[in-house]
Amino acid sequence: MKDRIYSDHVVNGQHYDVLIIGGGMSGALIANELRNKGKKILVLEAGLVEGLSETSYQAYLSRFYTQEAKVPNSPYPNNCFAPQPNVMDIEKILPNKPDTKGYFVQKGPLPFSSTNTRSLGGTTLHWLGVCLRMLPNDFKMESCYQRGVDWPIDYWDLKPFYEQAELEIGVSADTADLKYPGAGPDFFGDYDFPMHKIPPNYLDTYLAKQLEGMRYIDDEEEIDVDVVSIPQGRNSNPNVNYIDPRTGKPYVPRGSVSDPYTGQRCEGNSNCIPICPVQAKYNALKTLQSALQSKNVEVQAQCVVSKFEFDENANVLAVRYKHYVKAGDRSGITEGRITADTYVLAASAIENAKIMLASKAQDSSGSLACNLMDHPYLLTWSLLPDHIGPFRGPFTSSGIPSFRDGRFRNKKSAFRTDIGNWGWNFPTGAPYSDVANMVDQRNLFGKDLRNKLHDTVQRQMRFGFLIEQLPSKTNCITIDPSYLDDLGNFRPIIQYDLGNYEKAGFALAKEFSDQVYQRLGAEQYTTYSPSDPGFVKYGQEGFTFHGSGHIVGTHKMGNTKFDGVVTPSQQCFEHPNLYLVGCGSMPTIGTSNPTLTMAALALKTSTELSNKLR
Amino acid sequence: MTDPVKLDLFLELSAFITGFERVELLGTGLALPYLEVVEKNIAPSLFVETLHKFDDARNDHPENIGQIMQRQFLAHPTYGPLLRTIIKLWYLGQWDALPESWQERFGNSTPVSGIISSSSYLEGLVWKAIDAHPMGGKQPGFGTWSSAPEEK
Repeated sequence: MKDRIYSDHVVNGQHYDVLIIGGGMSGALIANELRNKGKKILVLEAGLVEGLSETSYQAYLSRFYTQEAKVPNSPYPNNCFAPQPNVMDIEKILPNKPDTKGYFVQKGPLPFSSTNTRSLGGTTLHWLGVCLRMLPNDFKMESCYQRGVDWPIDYWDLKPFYEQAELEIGVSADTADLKYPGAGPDFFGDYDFPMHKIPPNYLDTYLAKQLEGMRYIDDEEEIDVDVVSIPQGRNSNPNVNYIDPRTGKPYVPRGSVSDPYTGQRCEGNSNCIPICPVQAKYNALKTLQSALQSKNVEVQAQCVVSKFEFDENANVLAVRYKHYVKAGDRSGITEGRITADTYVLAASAIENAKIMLASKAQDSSGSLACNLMDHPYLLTWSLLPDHIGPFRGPFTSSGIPSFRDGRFRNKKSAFRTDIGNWGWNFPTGAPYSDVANMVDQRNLFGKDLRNKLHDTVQRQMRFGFLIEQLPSKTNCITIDPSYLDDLGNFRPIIQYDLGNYEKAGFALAKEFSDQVYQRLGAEQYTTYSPSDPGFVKYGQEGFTFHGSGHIVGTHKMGNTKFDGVVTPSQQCFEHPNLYLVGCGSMPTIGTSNPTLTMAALALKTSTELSNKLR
Repeated sequence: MTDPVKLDLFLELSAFITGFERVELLGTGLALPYLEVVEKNIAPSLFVETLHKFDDARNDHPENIGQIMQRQFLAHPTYGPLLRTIIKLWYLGQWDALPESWQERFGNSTPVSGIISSSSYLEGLVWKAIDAHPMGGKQPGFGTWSSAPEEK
């Protein structure tokens, strides 16, 4: 397998049947699905080949341990030739002054706070692992709620691919537990997941008991509040009734890429983001490893694509890229060109859009590089009357899906509530900040310090609300020769804002959160400050949002070239031998973390390509 | 070679201000590395003076050592910032740079700051204090998060 992973520049001038740009999850899935078709496949990766060996994965982990700011990209070094965004770079954006501190050039008015990872395996290195399907109404927002747009496909078209994605990722859930608004009895049908649900956190059980029978009521809504477990792409006990269709045998969890016996169960490292030490959480390295079992698949790393060349029929003729020997060493840069019969651009929603713009690609729909979306993430936090044992187990194991769909969606955003298991880690930097605060401000020491820390942190809880963002043409990526990275490629320039629909969603989420804390008798500590980079005003109220890491919507699918960039199989309407794959193809974001949908779409594309390549 | 008396006093002082037993501090395997970190950051004379003052106080007034620590050490403009930094070193495995004016007067010429090492992060006392494990290390095992926290 190692023989077919190249760091040195060996592919220049070659021709492949399929050229995949991007060694993240979509690219890995497509390479893996096509591996036995007798076709030559090359995956081009902009970043370094790291993580496949135990030594290099451990290097990620050691780096995480010694970084003071343990943010999503903290284990994964920035590479100036394939730079990546970092949440530490997010600042308040001043009017008429783009923020250029990080990799993204942020024109605002609000900062786009989500980040991706540019290294083999892509953003699945730091993803959370939540695997929620989108709900039926998420695919027809315009028809149902006169908001956003309808997809050219519906839930039922995607359902078989969801099942296939859940197998490849290895999703743990029990269908009997899963209750979503508007889902209906056929949402799962008689389907079962490969593994049983991840055991609930103690806080989930505590909340389920305390919130039993709760109905949220305001002037317009009456909604039943349910605590429901979350399907997760991390290993749990296998479901003995699940027969793996690939082997005809019971399902076996897939552990770490360097040692299959490590990571067969989630071991409670409480560190899904930014790095699962045992790889019980799925990452795309697993799929790449499987793809590389076939001699047809090769990976060339350290090659950053700058643009496509098109022929007179608007088909892609070749890709142009630069290879580097060592990050930062300009003397080792060489230019290259590769041709292929079929091209798959799988470099993330933002990089895909950027490469298409740099290539001066055709777009009759006017939606290329537009409709950038995320789940603006609102936090609320409080101290409970009881100790609940935080900082144990996955980031989140249950949520409250009650507001994922409902009539209110014609006026305000739907949202998903997750129940955080790591105390106030996200909102305040607990428990590190608690130590600093108690020592420096509250003048505690000795046994008093130890006891006070225990009592305080044990009572910390927080909610996170993932607010559905509508597509908007003015939330977009542009390029400008005045903003280039160290390799001479364009840096994405981002224009990003929220509308009143999303802000009304914040208000609804906050009102719901207040009612829950009142019921629990919790002391609320939520504060939003006008100095926060993501602070927004809505009427008399103010809210601070963060990024969810869900970068969606820059090359939406449509029915024709006039209303979308790609077909439902993610084929580019105007450049037929090119597929643009990933979260960029999603016309709306719904309230599901988008990776599972992205994976289902990549598998749908693989099926089409498989048939064509026969 | 490290002066055993100095190490002993450093452990006694650390145990008192962190609220952990001496054996728990030794169990981190970091007593010596931390002593080195302190010595790299502050003038040797001040460190020795602090240790001996603490030793005298606990011998002379064992019944009142808590109040003495609060008033004569933590509230002291020279000892206070140093002791608070040592508490955070043990709890977080990280040396927070002292204020510039303090460092100019009492600092050593080879200061180090930030997280000392992977093991200093993993051995941070904060995780024990809150009945958890360091995030990303010392995995407690599948499903352990479901049980109610133990009451002390």
